[in-house]
Amino acid sequence: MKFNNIFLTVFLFSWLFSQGGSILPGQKSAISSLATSAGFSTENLNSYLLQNYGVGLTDLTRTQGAEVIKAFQAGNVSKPKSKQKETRKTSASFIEPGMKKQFHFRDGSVRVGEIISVNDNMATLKTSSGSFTIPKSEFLDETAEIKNKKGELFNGVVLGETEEEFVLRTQYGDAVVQKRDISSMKRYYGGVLDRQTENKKQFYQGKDELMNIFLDPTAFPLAANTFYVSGLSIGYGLTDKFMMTSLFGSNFSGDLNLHAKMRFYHKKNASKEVAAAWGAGIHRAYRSSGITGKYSQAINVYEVIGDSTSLKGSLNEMDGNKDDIPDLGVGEVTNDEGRHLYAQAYVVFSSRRTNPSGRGKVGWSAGAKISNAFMSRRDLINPTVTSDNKSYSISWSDEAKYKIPYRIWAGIEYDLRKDLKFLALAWIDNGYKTMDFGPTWQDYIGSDGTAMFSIDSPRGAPSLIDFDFGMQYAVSETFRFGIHFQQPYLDFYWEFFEF
Amino acid sequence: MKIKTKILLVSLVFSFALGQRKTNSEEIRNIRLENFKNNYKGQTIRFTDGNSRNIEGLLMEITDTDFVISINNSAAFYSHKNVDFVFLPPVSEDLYITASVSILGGIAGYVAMIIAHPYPNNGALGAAATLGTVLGFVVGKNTFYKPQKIDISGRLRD
Repeated sequence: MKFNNIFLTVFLFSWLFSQGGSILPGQKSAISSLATSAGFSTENLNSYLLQNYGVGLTDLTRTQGAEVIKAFQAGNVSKPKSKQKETRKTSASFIEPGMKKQFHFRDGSVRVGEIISVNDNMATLKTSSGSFTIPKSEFLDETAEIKNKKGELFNGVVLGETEEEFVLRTQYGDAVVQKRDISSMKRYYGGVLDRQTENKKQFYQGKDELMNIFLDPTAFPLAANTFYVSGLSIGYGLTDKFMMTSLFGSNFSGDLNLHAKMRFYHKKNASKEVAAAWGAGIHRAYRSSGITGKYSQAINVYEVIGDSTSLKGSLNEMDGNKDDIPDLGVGEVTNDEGRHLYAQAYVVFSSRRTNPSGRGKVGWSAGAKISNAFMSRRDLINPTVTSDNKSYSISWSDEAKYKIPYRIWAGIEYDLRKDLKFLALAWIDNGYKTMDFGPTWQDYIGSDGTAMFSIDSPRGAPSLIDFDFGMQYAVSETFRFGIHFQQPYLDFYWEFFEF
Repeated sequence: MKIKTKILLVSLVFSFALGQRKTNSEEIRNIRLENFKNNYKGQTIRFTDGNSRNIEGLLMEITDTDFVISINNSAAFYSHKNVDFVFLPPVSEDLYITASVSILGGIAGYVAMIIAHPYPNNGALGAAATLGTVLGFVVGKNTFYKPQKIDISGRLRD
């Protein structure tokens, strides 16, 4: 028994102490493979072990190895956060009495005030909250890179900023850059691009300068020598005042078309830009059914009963879904399925100004458009059609609202962030019909029998006074993506500068 | 302390105090004046001179010290030394645009009425068109028919 007791004690102790020995190769291998599965790199694993056990993988004990394996298996190990590289922000290259602006400091604070005096390495800053004496080295350098519309690039310390201009001290002297000439700019505090300030607090203007609010134009044309492609059209800015576009969907179906926009009035200063533009478009072979389809709510259908007639409704309601309502389509009603010259013209007024909050710009546009769609419109429809052995008389509505084709619109744009705009539009349009997303998509891809890449479906519910709103996101300087709640629902737009 | 030492010390203190290099506002002002001349030469401007007189005329030239203004076809010189802001009064073109926005408002009011009511009477049509015209005029005037304020001071910040 004595021997047995001694043996058991020695065995127990040896087993216990053996647990505290060096990690086994099998444990190392298990930890490595578990760590890899958990998304750890060798560096991550070593930092985790150093943080928790004070040693690397090879120096762990068997017990610790077992603990690590258990922790990995239980999913209790989270990846250590990699230390962010600290960027040493640069101090202001100079601080002078009289400088009055928003100052950024090394500790992250921001104060608005005026430098009263500078003695040795201390500057006295007077703010509305009191006077502070601060070491010059605590002031962060505020620099900007400004590119103007002529392509000149200015790089220097921001000395001042007014509503009209930025004043920069460049290497070669002071420069006053007028804000109205700015094409793009980046601002740096302490040598680091301050994206938070740039994107979320104050920015001179959004990335996107709208030519259209959804499908309606603004008075601001495309910049000169810029080409764009959108989901419905292509366009080119010939000068800063004049641009041409074309609906490529119609072009592919034989209806070659060109649309011009010319800004004839323009005034701009740093805080506000106003403009007026006219536009005109011509289609050489516009389909007659396009007109009867678009204005189907202005075509009345009467049932002929002997010598009298009875109004059944407008053409867009003739879907055959109800009793006594015939199933009449645009094709049966349209007299001339040929094509003819179609023209439209519009005038639009726009204004854009700096948002008082400093967050980009806000603007509005209003315009009116007319076309020659109703020219000789009686010739576009068959006076009588037959369906299910019944005869129907077809005629254009005499209501005042259908005398001429028109669209009047007013829209707003609002920069929510540098890369995100809120857009809203209201309109009065005697040819507008609202459609759900499904039919709109079928219309766009042409599966409803209309031209591809165009929105010209005869379907939908007439909605002569309506509105829409949505967002447009600037994915990059050149690509925008928008979403809203009426057709075409989705917008995309790609710009190619200096094309 | 000797008088010479005192003078030296006082001079040193003053030279230090005045030697604090201020941001050169005169330089900024000159650049602004140059920009102003390039952008608005030949246009009608309005400003308040040092004697609080309102001057309005055609800007012909800007010299180092004066605006050269044409008033009633005769040139006059006005010092711009104490002038910090110049206004560009609205011109006839602005009035036409304002009138166009007003007409657009009237048309919008008219068509909104004929859509909202199939057979409106003349009174309702007139009221809607007038209301639209007035609204259009107010928006147009506030947007297009306002004097522009141009800063030509040497101040760096507002």
